[in-house]
Amino acid sequence: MTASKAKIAIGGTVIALIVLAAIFAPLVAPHDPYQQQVILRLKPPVWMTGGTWRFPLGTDSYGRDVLSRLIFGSRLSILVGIASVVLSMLIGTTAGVLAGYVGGKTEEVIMRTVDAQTAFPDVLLAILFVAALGGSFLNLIVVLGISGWMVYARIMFGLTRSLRERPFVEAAVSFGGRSGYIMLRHILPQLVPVLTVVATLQVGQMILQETALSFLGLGVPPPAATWGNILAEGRDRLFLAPWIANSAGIAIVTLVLTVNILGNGLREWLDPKS
Amino acid sequence: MTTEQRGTTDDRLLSVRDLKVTFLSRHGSALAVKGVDFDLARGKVLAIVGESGCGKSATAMSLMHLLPRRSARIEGRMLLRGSDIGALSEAEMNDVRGKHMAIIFQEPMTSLNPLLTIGYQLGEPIRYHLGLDRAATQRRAIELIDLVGIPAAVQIMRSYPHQLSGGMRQRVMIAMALSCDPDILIADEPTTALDVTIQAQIIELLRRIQRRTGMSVIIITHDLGVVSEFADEVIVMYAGRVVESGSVYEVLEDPRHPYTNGLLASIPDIDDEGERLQTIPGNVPNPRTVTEGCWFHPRCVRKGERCEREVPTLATVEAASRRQVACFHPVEHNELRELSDG
Ligand SMILES: Nc1ncnc2c1ncn2[C@@H]1O[C@H](COP(=O)(O)OP(=O)(O)O)[C@@H](O)[C@H]1O
Ligand SMILES: [Mg+2]
Repeated sequence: MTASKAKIAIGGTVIALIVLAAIFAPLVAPHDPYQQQVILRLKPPVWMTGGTWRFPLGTDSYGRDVLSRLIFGSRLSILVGIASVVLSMLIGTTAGVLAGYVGGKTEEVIMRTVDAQTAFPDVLLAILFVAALGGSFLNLIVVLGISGWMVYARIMFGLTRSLRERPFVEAAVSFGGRSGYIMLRHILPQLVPVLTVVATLQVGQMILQETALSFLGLGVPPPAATWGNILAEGRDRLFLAPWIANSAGIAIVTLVLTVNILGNGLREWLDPKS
Repeated sequence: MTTEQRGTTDDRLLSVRDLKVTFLSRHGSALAVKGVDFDLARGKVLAIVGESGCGKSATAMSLMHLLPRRSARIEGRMLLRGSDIGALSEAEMNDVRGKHMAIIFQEPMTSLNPLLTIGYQLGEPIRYHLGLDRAATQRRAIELIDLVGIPAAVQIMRSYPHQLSGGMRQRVMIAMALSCDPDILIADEPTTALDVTIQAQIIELLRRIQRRTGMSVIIITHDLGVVSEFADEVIVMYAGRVVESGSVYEVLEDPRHPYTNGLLASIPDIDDEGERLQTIPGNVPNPRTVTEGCWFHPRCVRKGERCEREVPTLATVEAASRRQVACFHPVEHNELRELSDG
């Protein structure tokens, strides 16, 4: 088995497990993630003294089961990660293909916008957005989607520019193909492999950003169980109950890392040069 | 509008006048085509010959509006049935491309989309221009595959380009070009990338189809054998200009321009096998460079003093024929294939 296939297998398996757990959260999670039991608050995880198998990863300051909150939290993190990637991919690919194929003024406007927004800090943009519209699940997706489209625009612009010089595209034009048709039928399918790799890697980025925004209080507001929210709550009890923040941190790192392993594996596998 | 309009009083289907193509880049501009004139009559085959880099493709691409607008400036008039297609918008030109004029290129290996089936791609021009339903498009596509001599049409429709040889792919390209019964087919070195045996088959196919449909053809080639077999008229291009034009018979039997003469001298003759081929020494000048006087004089064995100062214009040399030569010291009658470069 080649290195790229090993990466795809490992990344894919771990992600599949996490996604399955997220989908079947009500069956997998031992407790209701929102059930507060004051007498059971700040129970340490099972491997520490005072820990019990009832709460394998311990409880938080409201007596909620940390493991159950993580499992339910993964739903939001994964959903936000995928939805925002889809949104930014749609915006970025449309913009990049248009700029690369049409050229001229269209290219100027689109690519200068890309430059300008790249120079603008994402977090600042998010703060402005949330300040204007308020934090919610949908707004989080929109904010992340809008902050991440430039990567796609840049890459698709370059690829489209070289594709439009390819003889088969030139031939399609020479038979009377309309621009829109050529872009959809002849250019776009060629971009799919690269899009797959970039999008996979971006899912990891987006999950990380979602956590960061939630941590800053700009994400989905509490008490919703999101990994960022769990991390933010854990921060306040870092010395007394480090397991809360640690569990969230390890969950985030594991997911982002495996997404990156999968993305890199896909890239190496699809890259004909390696 | 193809059949009804054929055979009207003016049989000039396409007239090109003073066509100029300038490639613009950061390093400056390059005049690759420097004022080309030619006419194409209905049902005739016009050959454009010349070495690589003489502006043949640039001429063909301008006719189809296929040069990028930002990096290529096109001047002059290109009259298709009397109306200037040079002035058409991109959208209007889409109705001309593939319908009234079609072009096939040199690279059959890469001219088809690797991700789409032959049948789908063959149907594209039909869908663009003829508005036929699925079944009719399919029937037309199969008809075309038969026309270009590919066996097992139904099976070919379902295959992908990589499953076909170069010759087969070029046949598919020809089929696509013919799908809407164009008035003009432009073939830009259609056989250069193919095996020698396949080359002859493709030319034979083009000739057969041309005879049958009566369409006009512009064939670009540097193979004078193809010219003599296939074309009626020929224009010889050198460094972006027409240096000689006339009927194939006149030009090949009695070349007047030293460049044409040199091209003829460099093809092998079956009669005298032992003789070493003579090639024209030197290279086609880059369009960015400036040459004083005649563009060919640095490579010309007949150059005189005037050739270094003045640019010769294309002029009729014999009252009785339409043939034209741009040369101050044209080759005399029957001074054939002599290159005194000794
Ligand atoms: N897209 C382009 N940009 C700049 N120069 C070009 C371009 N295409 C062709 N040329 C130049 O124009 C000249 C004529 O090229 P071309 O028409 O392709 O010649 P031919 O088809 O006769 O071999 C050459 O010197 C070539 O380098
Ligand atoms: Mg060429």
